[in-house]
Amino acid sequence: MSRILVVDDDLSVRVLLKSILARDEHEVVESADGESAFSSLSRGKPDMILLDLMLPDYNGLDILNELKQDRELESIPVIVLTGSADRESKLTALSSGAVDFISKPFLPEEVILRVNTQLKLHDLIKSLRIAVDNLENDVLAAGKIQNALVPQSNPQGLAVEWIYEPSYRVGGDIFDVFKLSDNRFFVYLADMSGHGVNAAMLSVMVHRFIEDFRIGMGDRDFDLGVFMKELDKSFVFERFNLFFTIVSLIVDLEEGIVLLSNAGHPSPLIQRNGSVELLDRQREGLVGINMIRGDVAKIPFLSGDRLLLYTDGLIEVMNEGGEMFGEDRLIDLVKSCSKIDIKRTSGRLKDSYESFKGDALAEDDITALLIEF
Amino acid sequence: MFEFRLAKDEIGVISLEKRARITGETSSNFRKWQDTVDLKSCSRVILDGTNIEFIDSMGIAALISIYKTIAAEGNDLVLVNLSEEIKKLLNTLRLDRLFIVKDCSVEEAVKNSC
Repeated sequence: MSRILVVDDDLSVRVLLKSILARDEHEVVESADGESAFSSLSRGKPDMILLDLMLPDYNGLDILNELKQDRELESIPVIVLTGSADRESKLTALSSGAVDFISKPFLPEEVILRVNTQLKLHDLIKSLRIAVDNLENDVLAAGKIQNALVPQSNPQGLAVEWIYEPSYRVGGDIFDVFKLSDNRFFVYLADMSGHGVNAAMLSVMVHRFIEDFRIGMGDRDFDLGVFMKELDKSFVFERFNLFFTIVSLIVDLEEGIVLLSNAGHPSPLIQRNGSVELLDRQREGLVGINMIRGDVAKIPFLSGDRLLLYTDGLIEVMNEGGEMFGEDRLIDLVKSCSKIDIKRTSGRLKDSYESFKGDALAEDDITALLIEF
Repeated sequence: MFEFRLAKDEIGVISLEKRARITGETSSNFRKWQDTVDLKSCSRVILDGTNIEFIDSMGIAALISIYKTIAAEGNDLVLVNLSEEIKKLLNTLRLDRLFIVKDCSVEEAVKNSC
């Protein structure tokens, strides 16, 4: 049962419509002109309006336009009542937001069918909107949780800047920076296959796992090779039908070395003395499909050297012409920033891929971490 | 979208009807499709990459899923006619160690003459 406002100056039409709609137990509120229709609307919102286009005080189309501009009333479906010959105003009414029209004279069955169809449609749209809103809110909340997992501030003693941008509200990238001791830091960046909710859930599990692993092993004995093998063993592909890539490292400021293990992840960039190179030390496959041997590369560094870790979302940013941002552009950009600090470099990197992307849609999550020794 | 046929001696050949990108959405269709074909009883499965335009991480997950099914029986997954970009991607991910990537035609791969 719905409440329907019938606006028509012809009493016989109103009475007829009322009796037709009463058969389906719809409650009818009547108005003989525009003025009384508006005062009825101010007293309560009907579920639908049947609106005659020729009223003594108003043009029906003007009423329609006013309804559509009112935030409270614009969602009420309006069916216009017109003379059968009046094709022009039918079209104008439909393009002004009426959902349907009924031509006079009408058959009772037609009125019932059109009214009920539109009421049903309206209900469906309304429940769809609520469902989408709920889903959106859930994902927003999940995004907040995921965001709370990545570091909120720099760990003392290591100069590091980052960009963390999921393509949707949540994403499949995750990273962390831990202080193991005064001079040793553990950093990882992982990218789950896919993006969106399932990838985000896996990323949260990976993050949690790594935290537990670190606590279990103890910061002093933290071993990168063992860590990588353990990840591979624990996230078997068959369990989620997902895998991930990860680059993990231990920065030892006292010894002046980085221990690095890369499983399927894009090669980090290293910048020293003005030159920027891909640090291709990768010998291992994807985590989750038992390809990890725990190989660790030992890379010496000098004070002032920089290391950039990033997910493939960064080099695969696509512009509107379908061209990729690419490694070369990234290398050139990092090179051009050698004289400015890492905070500004990170800002410039973000500006650069964003202006490259233009109005193209973001397809993948983007994460980048810039470390200066 | 995907086609499966049996060549001689229970050698399975998977191909794409038309040029396509294997991404998140297609790979979930792929999983459903994979359940409808019997890869387990193939002594070798050949994937014809002719019509693969692009493959993302979910597409890679779909390939791994085929590989896992076949490898469980001790059999090989052979990939042929891949574009240079896809070969490079498989190399980056070290997946060319799991899958057999060949530069030859499907027929040659069926005969195992390459």
